[in-house]
Order: sequence, then structure tokens, then C-alpha cells
Amino acid sequence: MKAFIALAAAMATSAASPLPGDLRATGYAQLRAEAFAPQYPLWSDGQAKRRWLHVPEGRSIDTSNPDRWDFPVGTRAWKEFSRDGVKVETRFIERRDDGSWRYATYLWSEDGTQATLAPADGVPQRGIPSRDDCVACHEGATTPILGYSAVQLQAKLAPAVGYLHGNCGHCHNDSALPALDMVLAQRASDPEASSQRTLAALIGRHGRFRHGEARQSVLVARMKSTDPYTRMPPIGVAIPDSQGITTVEHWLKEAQRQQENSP
Amino acid sequence: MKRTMLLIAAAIPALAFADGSADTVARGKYIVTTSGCNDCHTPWVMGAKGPEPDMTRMLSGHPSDFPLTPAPKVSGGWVMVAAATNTAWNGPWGTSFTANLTPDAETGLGKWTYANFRDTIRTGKHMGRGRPVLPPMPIPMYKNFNDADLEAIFAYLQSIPPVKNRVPEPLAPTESVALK
Repeated sequence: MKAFIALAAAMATSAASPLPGDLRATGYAQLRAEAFAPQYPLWSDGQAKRRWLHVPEGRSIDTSNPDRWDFPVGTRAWKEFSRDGVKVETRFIERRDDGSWRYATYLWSEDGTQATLAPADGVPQRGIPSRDDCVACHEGATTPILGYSAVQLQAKLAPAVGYLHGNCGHCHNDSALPALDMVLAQRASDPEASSQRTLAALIGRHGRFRHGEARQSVLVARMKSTDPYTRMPPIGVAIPDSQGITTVEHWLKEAQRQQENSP
Repeated sequence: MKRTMLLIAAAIPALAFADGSADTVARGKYIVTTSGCNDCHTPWVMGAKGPEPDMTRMLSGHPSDFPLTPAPKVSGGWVMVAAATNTAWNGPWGTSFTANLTPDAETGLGKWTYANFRDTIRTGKHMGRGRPVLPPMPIPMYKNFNDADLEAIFAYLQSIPPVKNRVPEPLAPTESVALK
């Protein structure tokens, strides 16, 4: 078994090596890994999720910049999706020896005994993302490991702000979409300032929310939408998260009320 | 002489994109004007010799004030229809409106980064991570442009006159024939 793990590890960290066909060869359930849960998880149509992170022995995460944790080469993360207690898919991220990241999805067999590599184009009919989809979300943020960060593990944010960070911030940040003037990602280094900045973008004069004015409330309308061309997030969600939307809408209404009542 | 120098100085910022050279912008213009961009992103009007692109609104996308009724149903081997402007299209994917490619800050590409543009063309997703870019935009072919060509195209598009025109959002199909 040790030889198998060593071989899998060596293959998986090489930039040129192909993705393993079987999930176990990525080190899943083989390598020492820490289970973790982000405070502000991404809504995935109500599926349950479990997550693990593996950092190679003798290496560590550089956390000197709280807004950009630097993971060492060989870092691997897995996220397992299940519905009604049945495993559906496990997504895999790995930092390769050239510093780049790679992504894959493994689909579980019906009896839950084996997970095999999904096609690079994904399986759209089943909501399985393509590898381009993985890149679109994970490489829009400051670091591709989205759920294991100072904001997600340590920061204290208002629930709505945390929700926007976890569900929208991987694209709506300064580096991925600067043209939109709407930063929803939060900074652990200064959560108060980043939260205020988000609020100003949403309920200011040109904001995306105005209670009672449907045409002005683009943010909430797009979160509620099931139209494939306007819904947000654009991928990975088919069923709007009514609880999350209520949290955000209530927070924005209250913030708008306070703003209107301030002298 | 002083006047000439001032004119040259004023022209430089407009060309200072990508690698900053006029050659890049010229290369971009060559690609844009030979790759059919104006065919759909510049609205057509009826001229003396038939339909022709209205170059006063060059590359400004589907005109927001152009009246459109719901697209007619087609059959008998026909699969899509185009508006008279050639800027709005209806087919199995729904209705798509060509984008404003001018550098207007609020309605065009004025605030886009080169990375946003490159990622849109390469992935076929808005800004590389949003909704799909819809037909008839030839993403399957254009995604093969190399980086130098994409940089040149973007540099040229950022150098043309801005036109304020907010293009509508696409409409999803009303029947269950959505593309996967």
C-alpha cells in the first residue's frame, strides 16, 4: 500500500502527468488530510458537502498575507458532494510542482464504491462542471483554495456579507472583474472596510439594490432567477437558495433604511 | 511645429495599449476589418445599394432604441432569424444581441481589462466566467486566435470612438429547446 501511495503522489505532483482515472490514486482516503468546513459555504442546490485538505509533510501554508494564503506545492483538496446520503461526485484540486493548479471531478458509482474521472467537458445534463468551469471560479480569486482561507475559517462577518463572499466573491473581486465596480469578496486584513465597500456598491446611488424598486434591484433579481443567461452564480446552481437570498435581501433592506434615516 | 508636436502628443495615449505601439493597433484593425466583426457588431441600415453597416455607430452592438417585435417562428429547414440591423438573432438558444465593443465606460468595453477580453474569447463565457457567449458569435473559431492577435484586437477596440449604447441582456428560449 505504501508503494501505491508513493507512486500516486509522485505522479500526481508532476506537471506533465495525466490526471488519475480513479479517485483513490489522487490520494483520496489514502493520504493524511484535515477535514474542514468554511463558515460561508457555496450553495450547491442543497447538496451536502465534505472537504479535506492535504499539505505534504514538512511543508506548510504561508499565512503571512491573510488575504492570500500561499499553499505549498503538493497541496491537495477534495470536496465531496452527496444528495440524500448518496455520494454523487468528488472534486479535486492539486498544486503541481511547477506551481500551477489542476482540477478534476470524479463521479461515484451507484454503489458508492468507486469514483472515476469525469470528462474534461463535464456532464452538463447532471450539473457536473467542465475543467474550464473549475478554472473560471477557482482562478478568479486570490488563491484557488476557496474554502480554506482566513475569511472562511477565522473572520467574523455579517451573515449576508459572508454569504456574498462565499457565493460571489470568487469572481466579484478586484482582480477578476474590476470592470463591474462591485466587489463582493471580503478581506480578512480589514473586514470592516471591505464590508462597507461592498455595501456602498450595492445601495449607493448606482448600486444594485433598491428595496421596492424591482428594476433597480438587479443583484437580488439575478440571485432569484432561473434564467440560464441572467442567474447568479452563472454555473453550479440550478435552484435558487431561498434562505441565502432572504438573508442578503433583509440585510440590504435594513442597510438602506438606516442610510435613508441618517441625517 | 509646436502645433504638430501637440497633436502627436495628444495622439499617443489613444495608441498606448497592449505593447503600446501603433503597429499593434493597426494589426488589430486589420484583423477586425477582415474577420467579420462589423458584420454583426455594427448595425446595418438600408442604403442606396441595399443593406450596409452604419459606420457612424461602428461596433456599438445592437441599438438599444431599435424596436423589435417577438421573433417570428421558423420551420421547413430554417433555424434562425436576424433583425434588420443584423445585430439581434433568434434561434434555439433564444435571442442574442451583439455587444457594444466600443470603449464607452458604462455600456461598452471601456472598463474591461485585456484579461477579461481574452478570457471571453477563449472560454466562450462572458468575461471568462459568466453566462455563455451565444450564437452566432463564432467562438469555436475565434478562440483559436493567438495571444498576440487578441492583444492587437483589444488594443484596436480600445482606440475607436466610444458609443454610448446599452445592449439588452439575451433572452432565454421560451420553449424547451435550450442549448445545453
